[in-house]
Amino acid sequence: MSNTQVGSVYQQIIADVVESSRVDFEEGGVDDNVLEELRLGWQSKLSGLNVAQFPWDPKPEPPMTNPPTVPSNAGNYHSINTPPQNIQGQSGMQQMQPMPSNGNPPRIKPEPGMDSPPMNQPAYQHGGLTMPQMPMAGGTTAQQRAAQHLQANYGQRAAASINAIQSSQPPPQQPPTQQGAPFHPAGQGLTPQMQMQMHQQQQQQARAQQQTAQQPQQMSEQQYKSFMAAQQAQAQARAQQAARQNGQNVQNAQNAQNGQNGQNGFNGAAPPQTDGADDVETEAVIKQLGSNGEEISMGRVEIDGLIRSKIEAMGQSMEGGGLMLPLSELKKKSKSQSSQSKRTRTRKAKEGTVFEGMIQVDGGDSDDDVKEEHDEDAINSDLDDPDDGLNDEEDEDEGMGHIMLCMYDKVQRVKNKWKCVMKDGVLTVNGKEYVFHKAQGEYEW
Amino acid sequence: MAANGQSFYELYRRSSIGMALTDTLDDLISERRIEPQLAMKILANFDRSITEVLADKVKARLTFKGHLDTYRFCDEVWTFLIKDVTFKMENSSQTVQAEKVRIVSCNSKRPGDPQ
Repeated sequence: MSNTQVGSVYQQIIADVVESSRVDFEEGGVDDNVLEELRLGWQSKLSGLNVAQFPWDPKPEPPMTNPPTVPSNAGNYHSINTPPQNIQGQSGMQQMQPMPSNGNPPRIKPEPGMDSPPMNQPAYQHGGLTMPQMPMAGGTTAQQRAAQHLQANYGQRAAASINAIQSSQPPPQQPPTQQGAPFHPAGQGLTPQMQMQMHQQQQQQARAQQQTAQQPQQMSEQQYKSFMAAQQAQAQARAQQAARQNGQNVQNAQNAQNGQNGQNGFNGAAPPQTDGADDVETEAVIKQLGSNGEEISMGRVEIDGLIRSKIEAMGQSMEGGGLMLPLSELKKKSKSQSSQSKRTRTRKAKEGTVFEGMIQVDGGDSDDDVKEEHDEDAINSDLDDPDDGLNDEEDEDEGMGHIMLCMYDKVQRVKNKWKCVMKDGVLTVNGKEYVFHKAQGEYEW
Repeated sequence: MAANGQSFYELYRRSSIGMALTDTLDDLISERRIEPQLAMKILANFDRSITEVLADKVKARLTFKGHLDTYRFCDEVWTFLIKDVTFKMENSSQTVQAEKVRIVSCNSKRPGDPQ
């Protein structure tokens, strides 16, 4: 079981998935760029989870899709400090000064200088992926510097990797994982901070691209989302459902198809209103059916206002039932929400005291009862859901949580003693991820 | 699900790498860059890929001990909630402790799967 292996294993999985999906992309007539974007997004999301050091972290991988940042930076370095050794000397000085015992800085200059500068330059331009040079340039000093960098930057947390560096010289072909970060700056004159900046720049760029690609419709969706995020989670779920229902009232055909596809695929994670965007002009995002049957066009602002008023109304109506408690506390409570109280609330809603918005949305009086029933169901099922999934959600509350996903070879029990043999697993614990081939567990009940 | 006939567990979609992929696909779908059907195919590819890579490339072993809080066996899936767990990696003295950990585990021998 190792955390260091995670990076390379995941990289391989990503590469594998990307390769095998290429055919599917072609069949679907989707451009290769999207595939590449998928990979980059995937990697950056994974890095964002911070569960391990990934090969692409210190030096974002392919110069292909993000040429603006890498080469421009590279150009800067070369134009400012013409000989690459200079940079190395400088950064070496900065980093080494507090450690007089090392005494390397003066000697660092000549070392890489032995390699002809042309050799260094391509190494850098390929994102430093040609690591084999580094051990050549001076195995032990590089190791020392790597260790010091690690120590300086990550302190105690890096102890394990420092040990690893000092105890064994990594084989040159090994994909640079933890060692990648320190080697790179030591040899190429890029401090980790710079790399971080580069990485962030690229992410920002990617984000910016995505945003420009989005239609105004989806911007409103984003506003909508961030707005919702501030609200209580349960109210959020309900409001989304309500919004979805509203949308479907009008845009039934499209929503029904696309929305359901999204739902099936991703457990409802797909944002509700993404479909049905194109046919409506930006001004009127959604149409509302007035109480007397005429259609009212609603822009973003109105929708936001509507959602807000609904959420507030819901919040008020829930306070009595203790539903405004944090989700975790709520779940501890038994499923004691009597149907009586629900009924009271919905009656209130029908009388229009609380759920003003709801009643409007449901349209004319003729089918009022039917719709109202529908809404009531929605509320009930939402109320019940957290309780039903009590065990499941308890852990997901903690974000990534502590979870081991694996296969079992053997599960044995003698009285209260359990013995299990697991294999091929991924373990997430304390914010770090580990992969293992085999695991043996013993525990008593 | 998978077009190649053999199907793989979707279990690993809950891991960080699976979640990251799902999120990314979600983004692409909501930007209407790809169709949900394509996303399903990619996820199927992921199921296969992670199963194979974990089986072939990973050699690490570990042992763990703890107190079993909850166990469940349903549809050939074991779920354990273990408290006060200590994970011990083989080949290193490193141990990791956790207050509780959930184990979700599918049968390594799939019925009708000649493994």
